Amino acid sequence: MAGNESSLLTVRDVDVRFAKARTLADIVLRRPAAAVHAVASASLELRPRETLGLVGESGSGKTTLGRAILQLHPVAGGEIRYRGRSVHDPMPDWQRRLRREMQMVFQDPYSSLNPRLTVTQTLGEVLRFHRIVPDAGVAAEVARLLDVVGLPRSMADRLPRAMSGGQRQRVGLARALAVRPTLLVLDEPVAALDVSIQAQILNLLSDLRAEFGLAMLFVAHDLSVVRHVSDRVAVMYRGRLVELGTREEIFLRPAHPYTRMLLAAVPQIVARKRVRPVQAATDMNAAVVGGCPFAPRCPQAVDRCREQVPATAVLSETHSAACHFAAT
Amino acid sequence: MSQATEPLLRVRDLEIAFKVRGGEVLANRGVSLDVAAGETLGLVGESGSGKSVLCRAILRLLPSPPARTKRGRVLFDGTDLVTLPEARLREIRGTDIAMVFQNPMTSLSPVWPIGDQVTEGLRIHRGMNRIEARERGIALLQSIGIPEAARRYDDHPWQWSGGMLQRAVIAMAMACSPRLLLADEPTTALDVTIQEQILALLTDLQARSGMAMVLVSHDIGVVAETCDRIAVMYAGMLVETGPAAEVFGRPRHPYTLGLMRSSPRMDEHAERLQPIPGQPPDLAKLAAGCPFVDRCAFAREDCRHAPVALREVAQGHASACLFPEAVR
Amino acid sequence: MTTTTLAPSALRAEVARWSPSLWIGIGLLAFIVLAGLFAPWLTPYDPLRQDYGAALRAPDAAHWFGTDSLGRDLFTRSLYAIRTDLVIGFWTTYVPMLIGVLLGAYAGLKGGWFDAVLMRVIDTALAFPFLVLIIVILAILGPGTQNIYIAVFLVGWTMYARLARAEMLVESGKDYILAARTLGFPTARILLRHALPNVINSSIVFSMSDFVLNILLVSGLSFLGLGVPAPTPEWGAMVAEGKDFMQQAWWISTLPGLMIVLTGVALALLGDGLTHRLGDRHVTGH
Ligand SMILES: Nc1ncnc2c1ncn2[C@@H]1O[C@H](COP(=O)(O)OP(=O)(O)OP(=O)(O)O)[C@@H](O)[C@H]1O
Ligand SMILES: Nc1ncnc2c1ncn2[C@@H]1O[C@H](COP(=O)(O)OP(=O)(O)O)[C@@H](O)[C@H]1O
Ligand code: SF4
Ligand code: SF4
Ligand SMILES: [Mg+2]
Ligand SMILES: [Mg+2]
Repeated sequence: MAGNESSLLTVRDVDVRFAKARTLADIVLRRPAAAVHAVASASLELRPRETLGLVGESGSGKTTLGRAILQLHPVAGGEIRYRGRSVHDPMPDWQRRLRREMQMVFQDPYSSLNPRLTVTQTLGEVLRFHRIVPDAGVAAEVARLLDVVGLPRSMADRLPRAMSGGQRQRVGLARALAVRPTLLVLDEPVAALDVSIQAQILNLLSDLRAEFGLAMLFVAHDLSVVRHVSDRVAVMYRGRLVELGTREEIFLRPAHPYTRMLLAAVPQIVARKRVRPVQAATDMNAAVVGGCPFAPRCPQAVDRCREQVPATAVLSETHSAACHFAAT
Repeated sequence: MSQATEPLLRVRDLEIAFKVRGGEVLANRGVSLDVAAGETLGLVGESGSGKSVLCRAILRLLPSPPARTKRGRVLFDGTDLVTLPEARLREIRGTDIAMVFQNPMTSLSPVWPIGDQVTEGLRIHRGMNRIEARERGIALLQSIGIPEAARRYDDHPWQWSGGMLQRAVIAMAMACSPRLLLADEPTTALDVTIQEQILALLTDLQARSGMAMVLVSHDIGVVAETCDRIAVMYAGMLVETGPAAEVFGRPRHPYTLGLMRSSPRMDEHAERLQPIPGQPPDLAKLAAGCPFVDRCAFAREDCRHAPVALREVAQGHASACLFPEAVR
Repeated sequence: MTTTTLAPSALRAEVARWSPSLWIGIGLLAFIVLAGLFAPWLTPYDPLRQDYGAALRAPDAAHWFGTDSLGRDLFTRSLYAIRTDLVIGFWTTYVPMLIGVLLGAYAGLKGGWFDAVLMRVIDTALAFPFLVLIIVILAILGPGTQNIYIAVFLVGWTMYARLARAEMLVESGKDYILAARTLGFPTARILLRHALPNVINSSIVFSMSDFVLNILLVSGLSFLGLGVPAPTPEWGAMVAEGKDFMQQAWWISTLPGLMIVLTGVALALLGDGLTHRLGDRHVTGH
């Protein structure tokens, strides 16, 4: 798949680990630093102009994978290629180009902007640094960016603290768009927003995608949002990609029990009360050793699941799932 | 509602103000609602609409100053909590009325064993000794689905995951068998799968104990699936109340309709969402008339000036819109 | 700062946010600085001229603070000492602050070996009492103003480095720093333009009390004979000279001592006012 002409971004077998701080006891007993396996051999592909939704529970590694793609975390294994070339290739020209072509939008509109810079200063700095427009044209370009993200020009001299969450998120989007990127990694861009504002931003994103032909990796935990924006969807569980498919495949024919569990749990605006079975608590902190990582929570688990790690079953050209029983 | 019994909680015309620099913020403006024993009331609205203020005002937990109850009554089983002496109120808190907060990680003290914290109320209010409390505490932890409760009674909060901690917080609230439970966004910090478990648990506990429950959420799906009656809050006011089936089946306030149309759906795909334009008003600068007027598609000239208040539009279903028939 | 020139209305808004302690602190400090600057016009005497005929005079209309054993006017000497002490205080505070904040912020941002080494150095330095370290260094270098500077520069930055590093650790996890990295900004730019203005507040507030402590340090060293050499007017040295005459002439030590206290109060008020004013910025409503 790596050499695929049509692929913009290829992630293959990527591992990201974080060393845990060693306790005094570890040092005395000479135990090596333990590692959190935040992402474990993740593989996915993103085509131009396509939106890939990345879903999973908290701590499943979505943010980490997104950040690894932008080289904000070092990878411990595997490779990440952009237009067929490794993103870790240190050539300065290539790195500069990557910084312009791939951009990120962050979850928290309160911490993602420098509290001391006005909107114009934030955007102007990017434009000047990357020489997107001649210096004389910066003001006009800032105004254009504000129009693009639907902010009134009167916001140009505001500091972040004088703006609402939705407005800040638009500034974050404008900052990412300032370099005219091809690929956007959006990490929960609407999770901190109220539904009515969330809908405004989601509509804005679909307009931008149509207008600028952006490819997007859209990280979210809200499945209804992912269903709304994505062409294809990847499901993560504890650092692993457990299912990958088109929107229809994931939402209408989910093959992995975890995906089905996620889908069943989404609250819906139905006009009647739902009867939910009472279950014992799942200990999300519990370690999993051997077998399918989902086995402790899987309603379909059998003995084989606890012994043997499931291979990825290919269900169609676009659909795959890591479960022993995916194909059946 | 044609109920023979008196509602357990009756809030009447409650007005809460916060003193801020250069004026005051009216966080609750004439809120009136009833909750009967055995009933679940869902309180929805976007952030800052005054949901938490209402819950805290009921138990008089707001910091004062800056908070002040300007008007209104909170009748719990006929007793007005607004004027009740602090000592009497303290008896009611934790025994007759209990509360569950949004963030389970900060609802428990990190330094004490979880079991001791869960049973603290039993020791204080019911005069149990440690051994009795422990026995009862283990039973409580079992009843809320903690596996191996006896062994985990002495665990510390960091050893438990968020979902398990929220169960412990619920156990703590349920320890003295309250007659009213105020749950302020109890699942907002949790994953959908865990949210489902917690909602199932709450519903089950409520059905078994016959207590009344106020479930606060900003997610209309959550309240739609869980509650008997709904109260929709906007800018410190209740704008629509009624049975869940009616409020979401035939919303009579443009804000309720707007919330529903803003939410991406799992059952149908729309290319574009229909967001509510604009942003919620500043609660420090509210003029007379309908607070929704600047965002409302149905607004007419009258809306700017005429006072708005909840008025019955059908049996048990009330709206604060001047033109409820126009909403569709 | 975000704006280089403040529009009149912005200035007015800024001033409106000053607390009473900030006002009083700024007022007092301005008063002291002006008194030092205009010393030659405020007094007819020369701070160095000796007049044995007028030795050990108690405060009166001619000599407001009295005179010392050499007949020098103590009011005049106290005024001229403002120049010495504030200048010393300034350099011994802000040079270490600059060094410390830069090192600490860089360590907090980058982590790794640089951070580890820096923290060990700081821990070691902070394990000794400050004064002991300074005296040891002065014992090696010999007394004198210049060597005091060198000694304080060598030791004084550690507290600032620690403060800045701690704030930087919090700040560097924020998304705007990550955003700057995804935009390919160089580390120096991220550090100086983006992070520093947001981590420097606690150091600025700390520098106010540090300033007083440094004046006291230099005064103390002068008192021990390790500091500012003899005829130069300096509060600590003046207090030291007075100690032999405590019985007959209390004013020689007391009045310069009060000047130190006054400066200390001014800076403490300023520090308190700044804590509130700078703390203000962080309130976001959430
Ligand atoms: N800087 C770090 N140091 C150590 N561990 C980390 C670090 N960042 C993430 N992790 C760990 O890596 C795993 C994946 O985290 P990540 O933030 O990618 O999850 P996520 O899927 O984005 O979750 P969320 O929905 O909560 O944002 C978690 O176990 C997390 O604790
Ligand atoms: N301690 C406080 N001081 C001043 N204003 C407050 C305080 N607590 C809440 N408010 C204001 O009251 C309004 C309602 O807040 P809240 O009840 O927390 O909203 P939510 O519906 O999200 O729970 C908001 O405008 C908020 O800013
Ligand atoms: S392999 Fe077994 S445990 Fe894992 S998801 Fe499939 S059925 Fe469940
Ligand atoms: S009263 Fe008027 S403005 Fe308010 S919701 Fe009804 S139609 Fe809209
Ligand atoms: Mg994340
Ligand atoms: Mg709230």
